[in-house]
Amino acid sequence: MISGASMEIEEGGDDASQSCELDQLMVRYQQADPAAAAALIERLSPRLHWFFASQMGSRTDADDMLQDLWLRIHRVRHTYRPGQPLLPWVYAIARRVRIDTYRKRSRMSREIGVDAVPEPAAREENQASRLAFHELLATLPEGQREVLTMLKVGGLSLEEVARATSSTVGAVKQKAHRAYERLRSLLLEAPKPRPAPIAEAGVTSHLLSTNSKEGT
Amino acid sequence: MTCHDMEVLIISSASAISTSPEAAAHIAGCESCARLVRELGKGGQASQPSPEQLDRIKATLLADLNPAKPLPPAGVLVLALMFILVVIAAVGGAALGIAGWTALSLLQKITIFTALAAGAGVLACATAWLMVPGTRLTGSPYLYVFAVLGLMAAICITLFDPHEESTFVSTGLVCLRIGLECAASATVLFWLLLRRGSILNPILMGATAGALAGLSGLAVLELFCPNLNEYHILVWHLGSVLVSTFGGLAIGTIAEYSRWRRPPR
Repeated sequence: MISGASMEIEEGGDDASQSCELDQLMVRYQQADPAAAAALIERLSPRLHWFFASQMGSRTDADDMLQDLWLRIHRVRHTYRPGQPLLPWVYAIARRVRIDTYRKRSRMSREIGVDAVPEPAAREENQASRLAFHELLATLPEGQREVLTMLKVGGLSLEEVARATSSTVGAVKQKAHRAYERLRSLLLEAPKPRPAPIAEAGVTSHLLSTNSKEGT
Repeated sequence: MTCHDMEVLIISSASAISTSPEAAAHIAGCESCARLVRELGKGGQASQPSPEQLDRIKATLLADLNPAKPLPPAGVLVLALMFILVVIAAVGGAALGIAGWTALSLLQKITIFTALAAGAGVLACATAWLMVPGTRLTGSPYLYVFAVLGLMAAICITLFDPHEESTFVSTGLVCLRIGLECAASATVLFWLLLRRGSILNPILMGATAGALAGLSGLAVLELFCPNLNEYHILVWHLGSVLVSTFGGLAIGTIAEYSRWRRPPR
């Protein structure tokens, strides 16, 4: 049943129809359809895990927050309105989970006198490429990092990021521009990576895929 | 094409990068943009949650899976909030009398109650938006609260004249108490509605709902109080809205901090 639902989504077409499928899955989840609930978890969890990992730095934290997020989503699933885009609703809750976790950890670290909140740069990733991207993100202010992650990993549109962050499209654009300026200057300062021709490596197509609605 | 144009393309639509010959030409000649595009492309290589974790999440959620009735549309919530406000005003007016309504001129009645209805409508919309995560806001709810308070103060200054009053504090305290009692009653009724939503920002919600509840107190005071002294209305009538707003803000702040105080899982 679950795999059937997943298959159904895999065959989805463009961003709009995939987004529509997610919305439909959510509606079915509200109606207590177990296959839809499972499919939604499968579809959304990777990008949400990455969102948490890029914000908090630790895989363990990301695991905990993902678990917490789904419990919250389950508790407030009735507040999703059919016909509205699902991703801003999910990311708004995810953002809140991240903030709560960060503040709880900060309070604990103050109380027990140790650094319980991991620095963004202290990563657990092994792959060099991920590490580089993580490190780049870690240099950005929190707001810019959040916007960039939602845009480039979450696959949200500017309008959806604005909704998720209770902000305006203009403010989101400004944050993204500043983030890119900062990344650009850092990349110019950093030593050159291994030569990898952009066109041959299919970088643009990769970027395209990460920016799609389903960029998992 | 400049580097700035590339950023605009990346932000607005990545597909434009692959389809635009200008973008491809720029990337080929610009080391900075090439590295930016390459590094951003690596963002897609996301860390994955383990299959065991996903199974745990599914098991937890599916064990407690019941149909959930979606929230009514925002318009219905706004109407419900406005209805509560009208009920409080009607009950307050019936219980305390409408000497204030009688004392007001036609222009004052129309201006004050139209502004009250408009302000309450704006704050009810903001409250309904804040109940649902990911809702598009057309402006900051704090701005709405300030705008409504500012509008009511401006109307009061324009429509009423100031004069000396020997019982300024004693009569004023009576009005303040009545205003706050009505606001507290409205808050209780609002809460029955708001608890159905998912409040992600309790401080903002507290301030907005507090101001809305304060307007119900103000409506009752305008119906009940025949004192048309500008100072009296500014300090005690609008003061009750201000106190109610800060009360809501305080409750929201306590709710926010108590959330952090809970021990992590």
